Amino acid sequence: MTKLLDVANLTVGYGEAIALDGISFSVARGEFVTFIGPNGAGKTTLLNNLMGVLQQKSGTVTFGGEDLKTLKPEARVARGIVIVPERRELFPGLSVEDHLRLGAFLRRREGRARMASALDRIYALLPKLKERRRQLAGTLSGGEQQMVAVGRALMAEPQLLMLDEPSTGLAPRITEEIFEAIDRLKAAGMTGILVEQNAHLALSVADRGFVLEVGNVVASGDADNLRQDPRVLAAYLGAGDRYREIATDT
Amino acid sequence: MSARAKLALAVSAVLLVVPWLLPSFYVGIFAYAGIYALVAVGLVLLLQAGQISLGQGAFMGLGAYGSALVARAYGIDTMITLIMSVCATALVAALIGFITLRLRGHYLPLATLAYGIALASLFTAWHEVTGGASGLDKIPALRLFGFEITDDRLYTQLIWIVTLLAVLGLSRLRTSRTGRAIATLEAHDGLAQAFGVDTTVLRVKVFVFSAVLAALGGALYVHLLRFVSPSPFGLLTSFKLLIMAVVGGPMSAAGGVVGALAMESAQWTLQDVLARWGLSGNLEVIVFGVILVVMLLKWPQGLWPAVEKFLPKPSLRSREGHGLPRSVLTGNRSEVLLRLDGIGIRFGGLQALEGVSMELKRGEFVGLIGPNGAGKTTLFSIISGLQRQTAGRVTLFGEPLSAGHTLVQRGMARTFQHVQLMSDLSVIENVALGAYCRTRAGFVRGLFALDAEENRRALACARAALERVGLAAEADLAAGSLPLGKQRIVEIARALVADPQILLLDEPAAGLRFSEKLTLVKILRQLQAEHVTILLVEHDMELVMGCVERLVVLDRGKIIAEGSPKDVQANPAVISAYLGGSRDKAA
Amino acid sequence: MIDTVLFLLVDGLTNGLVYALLALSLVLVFTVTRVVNIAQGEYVMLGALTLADLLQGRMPGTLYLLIGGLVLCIVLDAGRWRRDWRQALLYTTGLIVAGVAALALTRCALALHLPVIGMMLVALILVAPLGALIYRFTVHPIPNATTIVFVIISVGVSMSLQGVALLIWGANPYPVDPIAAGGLMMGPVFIPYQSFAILITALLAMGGLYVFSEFTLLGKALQASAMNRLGAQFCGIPVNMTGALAFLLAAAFSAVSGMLLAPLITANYEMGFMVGLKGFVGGAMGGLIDYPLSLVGVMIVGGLESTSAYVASAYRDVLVFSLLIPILLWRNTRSRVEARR
Repeated sequence: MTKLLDVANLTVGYGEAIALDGISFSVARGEFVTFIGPNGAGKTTLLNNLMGVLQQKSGTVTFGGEDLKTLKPEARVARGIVIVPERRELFPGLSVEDHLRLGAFLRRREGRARMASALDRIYALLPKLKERRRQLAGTLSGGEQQMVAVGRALMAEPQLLMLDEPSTGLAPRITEEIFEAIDRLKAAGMTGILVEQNAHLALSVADRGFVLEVGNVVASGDADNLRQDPRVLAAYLGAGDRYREIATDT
Repeated sequence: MSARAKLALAVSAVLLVVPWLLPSFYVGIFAYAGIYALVAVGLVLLLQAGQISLGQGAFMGLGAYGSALVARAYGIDTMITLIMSVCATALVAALIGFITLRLRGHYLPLATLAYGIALASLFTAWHEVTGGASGLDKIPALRLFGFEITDDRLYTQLIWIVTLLAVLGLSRLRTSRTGRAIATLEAHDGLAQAFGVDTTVLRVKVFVFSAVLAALGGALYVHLLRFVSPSPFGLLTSFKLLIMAVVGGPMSAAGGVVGALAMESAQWTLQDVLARWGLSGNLEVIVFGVILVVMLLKWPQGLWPAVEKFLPKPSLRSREGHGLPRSVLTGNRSEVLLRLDGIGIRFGGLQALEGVSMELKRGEFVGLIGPNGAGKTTLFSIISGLQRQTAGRVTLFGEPLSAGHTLVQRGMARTFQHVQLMSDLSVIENVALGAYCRTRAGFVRGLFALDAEENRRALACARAALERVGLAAEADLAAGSLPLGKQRIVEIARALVADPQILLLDEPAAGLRFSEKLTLVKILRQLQAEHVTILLVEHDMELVMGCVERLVVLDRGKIIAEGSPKDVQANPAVISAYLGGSRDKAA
Repeated sequence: MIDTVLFLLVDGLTNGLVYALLALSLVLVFTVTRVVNIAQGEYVMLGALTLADLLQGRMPGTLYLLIGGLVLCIVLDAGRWRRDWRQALLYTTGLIVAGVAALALTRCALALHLPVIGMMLVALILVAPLGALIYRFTVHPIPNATTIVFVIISVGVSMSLQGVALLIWGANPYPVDPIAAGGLMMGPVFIPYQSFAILITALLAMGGLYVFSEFTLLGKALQASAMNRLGAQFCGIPVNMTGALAFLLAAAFSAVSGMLLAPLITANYEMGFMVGLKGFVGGAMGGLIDYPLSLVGVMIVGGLESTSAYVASAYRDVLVFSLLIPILLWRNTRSRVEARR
């Protein structure tokens, strides 16, 4: 398998603060990897950097052999790096179908027929969106909004689909629906990065997993093996050993 | 006397002698520069408070017309009319300020523009009284204690004395209790509130004071010119004043003087050049506009930092001796300091918190944790008084929780997840803000340096707190120049200066490197040993587990576990909340 | 009595429609870019003076302003050559072609002695891109600045544009021909044809913006950038492009309103600023985000202006601008109530 995305020594932060401290990994074409870890671990920061809305302090990111460093978000979307953001980032006053069309904004010159067939494909994957196509995004339920975000991303025909905490704030039944859609995308050969706090859920979908803890990858490997790995639990709930022995100076 | 003070004195002396050396044509120009500098200094104060005025010319006009018309019509001594007119303008400004300063974001600058134009149009429209667009002449000269000032050079000197006094006062104010509070106005509202600053009143005070300086400038202008007309108080003047303040920069009141002198010289030079090219009219505004845009794009801090680089360090206000008294923190360990009872809150249809009950006992070190979206931040805002719960009650020391800005006085201080420091001020000034609720000196005492003893005690207290957390060496650096790890510790020192019984820490380790976290943990341990009661919200589980005595775990708005770190780590409900239940393929 | 009321009504409506185009521009710019554009009125002036020049057969100074702006753009974007020379070549060539085309178009228009409507179109083509250039120079470099910084910057832009206009056109007023001279007696009231022209053009402009926003993908992209900047970026919508587009469209609407207004009051270098601010007073009614409420606002401003001009003409501006404060307070409490919900 060929490497699609290659990340080396990536350090990202907000001003002075370090959120990702020199992480390295790669994703092969057709592979679905997941980043798990508690909040504050740097998962969203990673995706924001890959999307180009947050510059790295150091390290390199190459996508299909090209260094992404100077590329703006729209240039990355044009190359097929697409995100389903954590807060969904929808347009409350626009309809579901408007969202989908805007998802294909950069492909707008490809003609009506391609747009129509792309829309049909999304509606086949997420039938609920077809029922709601005329409804404004602001009036949808949380689960439906998440589906709009997924559909909008797919309209860009992603080479690499990044999903940021798709289960956040959703009822288990809705989460299951979303994850079934992800299963189907994966089966169709989609390359993806799934960021999730819900480790069990994430590892049930992904091929490989990385455990992030405050900016560092503390464990990685085959998803099935990680499920049994005690380091996963430690990443979430800590051991406390590193700080326990510190005495006060005074 | 410090080198900076000596230099300031020397510059002042030069400015006061200049009127006697200049050819008479330039004396007038220099006088107007002094007046604009006075008004610009007031605008700099506004900028320091994160405010803006596009209608400052109108306040100049009120001061000018008020004094001129009354003196002309009733023959009252101009010193009295000047004072009356400045006071009247202050009243008008207080009224306008009270109405408009509650406006947020883009509404405020628009409002200042609107009343600026409305007042300026009024000067023209009300021609029965103001003489309309052609104005009124025969305005009486300024009298000071019966002595009429008709000599332009003497008058110019007087103007500059007033301006320099304003600069001196505002420089004192900047390093006083009120000055520190004013600096918080530009930052996040939560910061001012957390340290007991009543932002509404302070905003109005700042606004009124800047209007007073404008009115004074206007009155001085009109008695110098002995003629009053609407044109000097219109929108163009307001804009020029704004440019002066922006060019000087918000860092220091002296920036206003630098800005005014720079812009006035630019104006006269440009007009000269333009006249030589045979061009007439206000063409210099092209350059002014460009200067304004370029300054904001490239040097938003103005010229002052560039000037200051060449100046000796300013004298530091005394911080020796004893600070403010510290409360005794030991006592009955079973005493409940903070109690939450069935707290619930709804946002729209979402139940963010439900039935949350917990206690914080004296001397305890408690961690509040929970996965994403658990409601930690909401609970923290309720405890710190920034948000009201819709169900249940919070009691602090047995009494119900009150409005956010009163909590620090009652013994609860906090730090912020996103560091809230005034990055231009020194570390010790930032820390001294913590003493705001424990000191009293107001605007006027700060202005006239009548707060020396109290300020010394606040600074001494800040110095002691910095020593306590090991940052004594950084006291005089700009807070913004410190690395994040130290900035977070400065926040803790600032909270300590408020002499809290309870310390609320909002993600103090976020974004820190390991070595910085070690320092942080050391300090937290030390505070614990000093019997400070601590509630910690933090994502770094390694750190939380390694320092707290007791944990409270939130998930989906409810408390799902409570106990020692060991118990919580082994609790299946907690594990499943964090890692998620296994996926049920059948569903 | 009834004549007076009718007259005031027509007059107020005409004023209101002129301000409506301004309010439209201001809301468009604010929603997409978060810039409160004090300088919006200057495009009114540029539109009017450009039309005046074209109608009198002179090369309009606006052309030099436009070409100067394009040159500055090429200079400021010199960094592009290092990043991607092919793209930079395309970009630079595009700007040069645009400049040459503008020059050629103006020459043709002057040679052909186009009718007023034709000249209005040419003037529009010359003025509208200035909006996009101003965006490039003053907003694009600091995307994360606060509202206050943008307000002050727009003050600077306003001063500079007014000064440049003074340099080009001087302080004299220029007469501008109406689209159609004369008027119509409707009952007791004489209504100039220009008032009808204003009505029709304003409706066309508003309708055009509506159609553009609702029925084109680019229009939807503009709306999307206004509603959620980050979300728009994630769709691959270049937010700098939509920002520049908003500035361009706003400049076009304002320029049109200037060309319609000029025949009624003559054009001069300082005519735009006040018109722009009155558009603000109206737009503030809708919080600079709500088109329909802004229209209500400008109609109130127009009506108040005509009435006060009749009752107490000297106090017209005092009254109109004092109106802003109650409007803002109403708006402020309203937005707080909404926030609480």
